[in-house]
Amino acid sequence: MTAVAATVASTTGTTVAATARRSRLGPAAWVALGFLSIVVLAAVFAPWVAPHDPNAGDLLNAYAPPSGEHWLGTDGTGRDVASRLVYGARTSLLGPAAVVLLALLLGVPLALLSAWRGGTTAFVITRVLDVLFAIPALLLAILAVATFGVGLRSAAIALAVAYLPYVGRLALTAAETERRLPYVQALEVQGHGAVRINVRHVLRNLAPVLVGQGSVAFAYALIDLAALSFLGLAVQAPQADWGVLVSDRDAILKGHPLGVVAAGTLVVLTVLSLFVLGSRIAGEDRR
Amino acid sequence: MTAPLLEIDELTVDIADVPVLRGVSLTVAASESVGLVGESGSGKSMTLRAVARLLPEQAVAGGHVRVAGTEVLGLRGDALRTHRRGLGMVFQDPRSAVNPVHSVGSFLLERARDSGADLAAARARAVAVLRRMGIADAERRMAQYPFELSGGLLQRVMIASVLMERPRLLLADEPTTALDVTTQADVLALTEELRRESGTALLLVTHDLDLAAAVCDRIVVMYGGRVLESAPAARLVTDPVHPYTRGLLASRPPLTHRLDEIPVVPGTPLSAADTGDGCPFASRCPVALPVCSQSLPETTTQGATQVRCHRAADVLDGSLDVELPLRQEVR
Amino acid sequence: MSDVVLTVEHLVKRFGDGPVVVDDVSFEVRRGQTTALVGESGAGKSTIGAIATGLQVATSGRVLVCGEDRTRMARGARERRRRGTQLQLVPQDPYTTLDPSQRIGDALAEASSLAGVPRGSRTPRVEELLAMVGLTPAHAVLLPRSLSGGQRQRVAIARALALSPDVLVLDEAVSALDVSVQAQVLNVLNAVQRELGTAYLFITHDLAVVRQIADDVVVLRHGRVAEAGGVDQVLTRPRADYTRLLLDSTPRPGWHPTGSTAASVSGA
Repeated sequence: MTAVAATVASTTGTTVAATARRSRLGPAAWVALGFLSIVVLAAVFAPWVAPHDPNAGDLLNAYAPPSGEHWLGTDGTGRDVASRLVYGARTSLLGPAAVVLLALLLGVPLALLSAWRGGTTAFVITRVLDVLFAIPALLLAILAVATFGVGLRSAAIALAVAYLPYVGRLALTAAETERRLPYVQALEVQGHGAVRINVRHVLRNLAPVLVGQGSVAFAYALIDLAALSFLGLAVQAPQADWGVLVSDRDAILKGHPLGVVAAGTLVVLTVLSLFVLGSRIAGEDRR
Repeated sequence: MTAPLLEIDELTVDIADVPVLRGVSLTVAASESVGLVGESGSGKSMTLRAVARLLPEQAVAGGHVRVAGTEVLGLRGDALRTHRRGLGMVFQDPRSAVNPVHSVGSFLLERARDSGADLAAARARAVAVLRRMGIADAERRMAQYPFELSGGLLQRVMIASVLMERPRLLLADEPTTALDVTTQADVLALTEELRRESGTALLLVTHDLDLAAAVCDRIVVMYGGRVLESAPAARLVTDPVHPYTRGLLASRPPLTHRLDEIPVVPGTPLSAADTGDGCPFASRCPVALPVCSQSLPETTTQGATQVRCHRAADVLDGSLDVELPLRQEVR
Repeated sequence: MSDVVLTVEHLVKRFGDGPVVVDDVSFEVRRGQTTALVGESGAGKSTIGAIATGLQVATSGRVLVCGEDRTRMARGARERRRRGTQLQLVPQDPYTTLDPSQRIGDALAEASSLAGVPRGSRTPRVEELLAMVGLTPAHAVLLPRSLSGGQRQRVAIARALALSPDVLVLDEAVSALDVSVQAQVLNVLNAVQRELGTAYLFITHDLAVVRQIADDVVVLRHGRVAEAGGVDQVLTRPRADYTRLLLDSTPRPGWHPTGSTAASVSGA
């Protein structure tokens, strides 16, 4: 090794000062992250955070105005609105999470496979996604619910299938671009197997984009599930859920819109935060 | 003594608070050709852009850039347009400089059309210049579109379009780097011919010292956003003064014989942002003294050679031999 | 063990109905030696490299690596891995050849695991590889974006060497580097060859670089072999007009460009 060592002595270089742009979440994204963290924590720790049992109603205290006891007042059956919002976060977040995870679990492997193999495989997969594109999400959900019965589960599965083409197509484009990069070729020449290259390398580099897309999909799913709950097709009343709370027509008609507005506001803020955070993460430049 | 055509005086450029050029000074006389040589991060391209006022939006320029006595850095509107019209610019990639939906002829006659000149005469001139640049079937090429031409041909068209206007000053940024070596030689030779005929001055940015020596009267060596040495081309390549110039020359692989080991300047070329207040080359210099990293050397002048080096005096009077063997025949 | 590690035999490559990019090219690379494949753009040299590494298929002809016919696509992961221990690639652009999300040390460890190095011995092997190309263990924790072009290219070389290949295909591997950095990498390549006896197929357009690294030269023009022979003979006493043209066009001390009708007429 001596000859090489001698060369080392004359060629060891100083590392170039790092001029790479390190990923920086802007202030907006930090605020969004903060808000989402609060919502998630509130949902997880609901029994400790919520002041009351969300299902305990006191008919004598229906539609009470905000007070020290009930921060946002009570609803038509005397249940604490604030507690229902806190507990409602659970299904409101769980539902979209399931939709997105399912869509990603199905869509990403399809995208990677299609990008890797190309040719006929890519053709078939793309056409399958195209067919799914043609089906509107809500229609599919209604169909599924009609078939499998109402409830969050059927709605979530239906939405996942409906979202599959969006997630899949975006992942496919990203995967195709990544797959053509020289470093992937270099790994092929090294002799690595397709699975390792795709999982350890391609997927790892696609992660920011997928997380970004996932956040946006989460937001849309949240709205869609809330809409489905509003229609009575997903989460059913009297379970606490933001969609259910928004659909409390009685409360509005009787002139007590606070619960509805609060739930709607939470939906909007959560969706907004997801968009802001998601686009930030997706826009990171690693190179 | 007549004022130089182009005068750059202590030019500084910062982009988003990051220093890129730190006090660059050089001159180009009328009809003179000057090579601006350096590696990555040297700031050579940025210097050229400053002259053409093509700096990026977040760039802040200080110092002076004068073309024929006119201060260029503060120009706006019509004055700026007039200044740019008096310049010719050629970039490395011709394809990004032409509109792909316009034919070659249309591109060449653009200026004539704008100024309402006689189109037939302009056309004849265009065809003639294309032929001078080595394009044999010039008439046919006039009707073609950029995508139908190879990179080499397109670059010839670009240079033709620029020299056709007989500008006072031609700014060229690595104009032949992307071309095949045989095409490069041909294009350079023809460009030189045309340039000399029209008396156009040239500021050529390149990383290739041999190329600069072949085509330019003078060479300016840049490193880390500063000018380190400036000398007549012939002198610079045979008798360089600055340790960086010597290192640069020594590390070119010779064509004539194989070396057991090519002499190297250890480390990586740095940019202005990576270097402190002293000499930018101090961290890699084989003969650096403590003073080198602390303070910027003054410019030492000997005849037509100018050097920015604390050890320049020692090198010039022969008392210091920079320890970089030049072209040792080993094998 | 044969002296010849890479054989290219009457190789032809044609893209669909289009032009013939490689037109009946034959040459050999010997163990521990460097054969340079020289030519301008469109000469077909990179295509030959791609066929040798298995990234492209030949239209006809053969490429033999250590006696084995490479023109047949590898069947299965094990065969691909075995081929990887015989021939490796260092591509031109150091900025895209490394996984941007992977630390240098991990990348080299990954390559070593392919070579069968057990988990416990990977760290010393990584350090060995880094030292071989003039880098230090301190570089192992860095991501590619913290390294310069020259340093990244060294990592690419180290990664290729991790599999102890018999042949290294270097496709314009130093062309994108600054001159002083290019010299460093050439020195590293020469040192590695002396130390390990790896053969090189060095694809380049730069004749000066050829002089510093090659034992044999194959000059390609429009997919055909214009001239082939020892580096001394080809560069000092060329027989083909095209070789002479290339030499005359190469910038060097004392050189002046002359307009060559050959280049003009060919429409370049």
